[in-house]
Amino acid sequence: MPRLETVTAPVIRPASDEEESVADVWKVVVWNDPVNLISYVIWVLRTLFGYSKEKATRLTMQVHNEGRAIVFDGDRDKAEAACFELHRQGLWATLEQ
Amino acid sequence: MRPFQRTRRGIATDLGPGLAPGLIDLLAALSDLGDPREDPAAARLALPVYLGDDAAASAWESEHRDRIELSRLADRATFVRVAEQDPTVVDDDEARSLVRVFAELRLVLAARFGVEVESDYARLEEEQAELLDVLGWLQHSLLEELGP
Repeated sequence: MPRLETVTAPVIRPASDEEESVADVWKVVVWNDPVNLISYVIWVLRTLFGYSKEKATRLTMQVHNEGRAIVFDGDRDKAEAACFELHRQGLWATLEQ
Repeated sequence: MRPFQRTRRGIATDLGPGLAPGLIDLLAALSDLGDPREDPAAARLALPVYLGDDAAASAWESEHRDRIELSRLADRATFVRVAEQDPTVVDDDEARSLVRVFAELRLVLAARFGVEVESDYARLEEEQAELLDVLGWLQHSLLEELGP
């Protein structure tokens, strides 16, 4: 059986303030679910966005306690790429402006 | 029992002869997923990205969904290979594949068991709860060895 290649997730960096206007900014929202482990969600946010343990934990607990959290913002391409990676990891992420 | 342990050569797996074949069997739950419109477990793996914008949601699906499925197939192939070779040593990319498959398995099985909200866990049969717990323990154990 041929070995399928895995996809290595890139670290997606938020855009700087100078890079885009507010109107172009898309927000990536992660929603709470009753299945994924808190430790897993923290790990995904750290590996995907390069966040510190403290920031990833704060965002994950916001998801857990409030039902959702904005975990990233950027132009539409970057936001869609972030959603792709989050869905690939089994998290539910949506886009909004 | 310590199922995963980082060594100088990578992360050593020790699932044991009782657990490794069972995990391979569990993957059948991922291969018989139905149409997301009819199968809650399949729907959990294909949630919408754009809410309230069907055109944008459809465009995103067209561009990304197949790539997600291919990635999941690759992860599952890695998972089976590692489980078949257990005990073995995996590199970090392989470990990340295992982590994602544990997540996928828990999501699909929980959906099949009818878990939609936190309180649904109280209604699970003992074997169902134990299965989700074991998969969660394996995933958490691997995350601790893998690191960010």
